[in-house]
Amino acid sequence: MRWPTVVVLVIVALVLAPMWVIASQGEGPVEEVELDHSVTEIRPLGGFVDTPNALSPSQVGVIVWVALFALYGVLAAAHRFMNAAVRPPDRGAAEVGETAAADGGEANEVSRSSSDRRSDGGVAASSWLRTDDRWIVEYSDASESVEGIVAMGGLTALAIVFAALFTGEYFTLARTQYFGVYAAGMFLSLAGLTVAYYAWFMPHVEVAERRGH
Amino acid sequence: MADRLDRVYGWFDDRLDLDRDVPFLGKAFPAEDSYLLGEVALFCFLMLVLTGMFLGFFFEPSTSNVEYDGSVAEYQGEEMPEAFVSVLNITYDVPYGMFLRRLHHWAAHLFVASLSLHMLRVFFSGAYQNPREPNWVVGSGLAVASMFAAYTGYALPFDEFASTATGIGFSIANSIPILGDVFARVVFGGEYPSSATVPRFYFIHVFLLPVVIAGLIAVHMAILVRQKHTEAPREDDLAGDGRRVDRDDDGIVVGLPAFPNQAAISAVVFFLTMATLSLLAGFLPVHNVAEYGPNDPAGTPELIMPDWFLMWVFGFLKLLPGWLGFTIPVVDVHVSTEFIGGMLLPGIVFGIMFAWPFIDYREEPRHFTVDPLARPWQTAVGVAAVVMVMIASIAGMNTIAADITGLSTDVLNPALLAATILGPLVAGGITYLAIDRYDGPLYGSRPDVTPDGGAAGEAEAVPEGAGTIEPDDTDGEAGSQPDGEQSGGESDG
Repeated sequence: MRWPTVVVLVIVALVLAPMWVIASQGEGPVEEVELDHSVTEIRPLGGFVDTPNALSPSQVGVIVWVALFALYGVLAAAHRFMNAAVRPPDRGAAEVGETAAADGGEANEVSRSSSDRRSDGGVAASSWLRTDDRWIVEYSDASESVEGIVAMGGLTALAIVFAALFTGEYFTLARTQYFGVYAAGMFLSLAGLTVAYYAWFMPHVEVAERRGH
Repeated sequence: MADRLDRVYGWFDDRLDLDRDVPFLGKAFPAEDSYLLGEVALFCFLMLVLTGMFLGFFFEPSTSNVEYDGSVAEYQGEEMPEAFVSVLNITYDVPYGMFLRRLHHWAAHLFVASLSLHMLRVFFSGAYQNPREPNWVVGSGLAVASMFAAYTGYALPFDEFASTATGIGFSIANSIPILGDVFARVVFGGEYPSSATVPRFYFIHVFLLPVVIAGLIAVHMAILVRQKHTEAPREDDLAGDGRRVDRDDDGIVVGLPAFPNQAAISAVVFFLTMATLSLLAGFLPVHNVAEYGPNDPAGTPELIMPDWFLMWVFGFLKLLPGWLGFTIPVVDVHVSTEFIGGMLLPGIVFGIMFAWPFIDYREEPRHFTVDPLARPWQTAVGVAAVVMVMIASIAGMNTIAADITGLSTDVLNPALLAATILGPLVAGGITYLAIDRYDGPLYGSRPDVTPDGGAAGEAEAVPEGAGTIEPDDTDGEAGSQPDGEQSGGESDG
C-alpha cells in the first residue's frame, strides 16, 4: 500500500474508532418483551442465539457499516472469482499476440474462432453483442466440466431445502431467528448457484463500445 | 440451448423491436468491484418497496387511541395510539411480521450506507466530472430524498423514542425565519405531534418520497446508459473482431455485456445483499417499539438521538451556543441556533455537495477514473468532509461520550466544537501535504495529451494485416506514469 494511502487511513481511523466506540454504547441491556402465548401461537422471539433485545440508532449505524464492509468483501471476492474462473490462463496475451500478427491474415483469429464457431457458418454470439458501435474483444468458451454440474446440483438442492424450511417456519412457530437463517441460507445458495453457473457454464465475453453514439 | 434462447429472444424482438435503438443488452459494464455498490443500493430500495407493501397492509396511520388486545403482555388492555398498536401487531402477532419489519428497517439503513459509500467512491475517483455532473446532482438528490424517507418512516410507529426524535425535526422546521410556521404546518400538520402528523408522514413516506426516489433512480440509470460507465485504466491494448482498442482511448468503454454476463453478476449482488439483510433481520432488532412504549407527551426518554446518518446534524444542534442566535433589526426576524445548526449549516454542506462538480469543474470530458493520490486538494477536501461528519456525529452523541469519559457535557462541548472546526482542517491539511509530496506510481492519472503533444489515442479499425500493437512500455505497474507527469491530468482541476 502506498504511504499517503496509509496516512489517510490512519487519519480516518483516528476519528472513526472513537465514533464507533461511543456509538456502540448507545443502548443498555433491556429485558425481552414478554408475550402472552394464549393470544397467539407463533413465537417470533424464539431462537438459538442470545442477541440484544434493543439497539439504539447509533448502534444500528455501527452494525450496518460493518455489515456493508463485510458484504462488499464477499461481493468483491465473488466478483473476482467469477471473472478469473472463466478466463483460461494467458488468454489476453494470446489474443493480443494473434492480432499483432502482421501476416496479412485476419486480426484476432483466436477471438473469431471461438466466438463465431457454429456449424452452419453463422455467428454464434448473440445479436446484441455486436452492433456498429460495439464489438467483442474477448471471448472464452465455457468449460462445462463435471464439477460444475456437481456444484450446481448440490447448491440447487440446498436452496430448495432452505426455501422449504423458510416456508415451513411460517406454518409453525414463525421464529424470527430461524427465518433469518433459512432466508440467508437460501439466498447464499442461490448466489453460489449463480456463481457456479457463471464459472462453468457461461462463456466469458467482453465487449468494447463507443461512448458517443 | 443457445438456439432456444435465440428463439425466445427473437419472439420478444419481433414484438418489442429490442435491437432497434435499444443497445442496452450488450452495454459494457467495466468489471470493477466498487462499481457494485450502486447495485447494492438499488436492491435495497427494491427490498424497501416490497417489504413496505407488506407492512402497508397492516399499518394504521392514526393516532386515535384503541385498546390493545395483542400478545405483548405489558400493554394488554391499555388504550394506545392505533399506529403504535398496529406496529405491535405486525411485530408480534403476524407470521413473518417481525422478520419483514426488521428487513425493511435494515434495508433502509443499508440503502443509505451503500449510497453514501457509492458516492464516496465516485467522489474520490473523480467520476463526477464532465460529462457526469448531472448524474452526481441526481445522486445527491437521491441521498437527500432517502434521508427524508428514513426520517418520515422513523416517526410512523408513534412510539416514545421516535416521536421525541421526530419532534427535533419539527423544531428545526419551525425555526425557519418567516416561512417556518407555514412549512411546519404543511409537513407536520400543525403543532407536533398533532393527529395529522402521522397520516401526513405516512403519505410522504409510502407515496411521495418513493415516487421521487424511483424517478431519480430511473433518471440516474438512463443517464448512465447514455453516458456509459467510467472505467479504470486499462493494463493493455485490446483487440477483437478486427478492431483494436488503445489502452489510452477513453472514447471507448470495455467491459462485460449487460446480458448475460453482468446480469449474472447483478444476480449475485442481489442474492448476497438479501442474505446480509436476512441475517441482520433474523438476529438483530432495530427500532424495537415495544421497549420504548407509545408516545407520551408528558415524558422524555432518557436517550434521544436521530438515525445515525443524521447524527452529524444533531451534533451541530448540540454544539452551537445559544448566543449565536440573533434578531435582524428593522424586519424583526429572529434567526435561532436551531435554524443555524439544523438548516443553515446542513444546507451549506448539502449545497456544496450538489455544486461540487461545478466547483471542481473540468473543461474536457473524462471517462477514466483517477487515482485519488493524483488529486491532492480534491482528496483532501473529501477526507476533511468525512472527518467533519464523524466528529460532528460524536458531538451528536455527547451524552454517551460524557458517560464514557466521566466528563460533563459542559466540559466536552467546547472541545468538540473546536474539534469539529479544526479537525477537518488538520485532516485535510495533512492529507494534502502527504499526497502533494508523494512521487510514487499513480494509477489512472493520465495526461490529457500524449507526451508528443497529440491527442490521446482513438479507436480505429485495424485493416487486415496492418499495424502491430506496441508492447506495454511500463514497468509492470498498470497505468503508471513517469514522476514528472503525475499531475498532468489535473492541470485544470
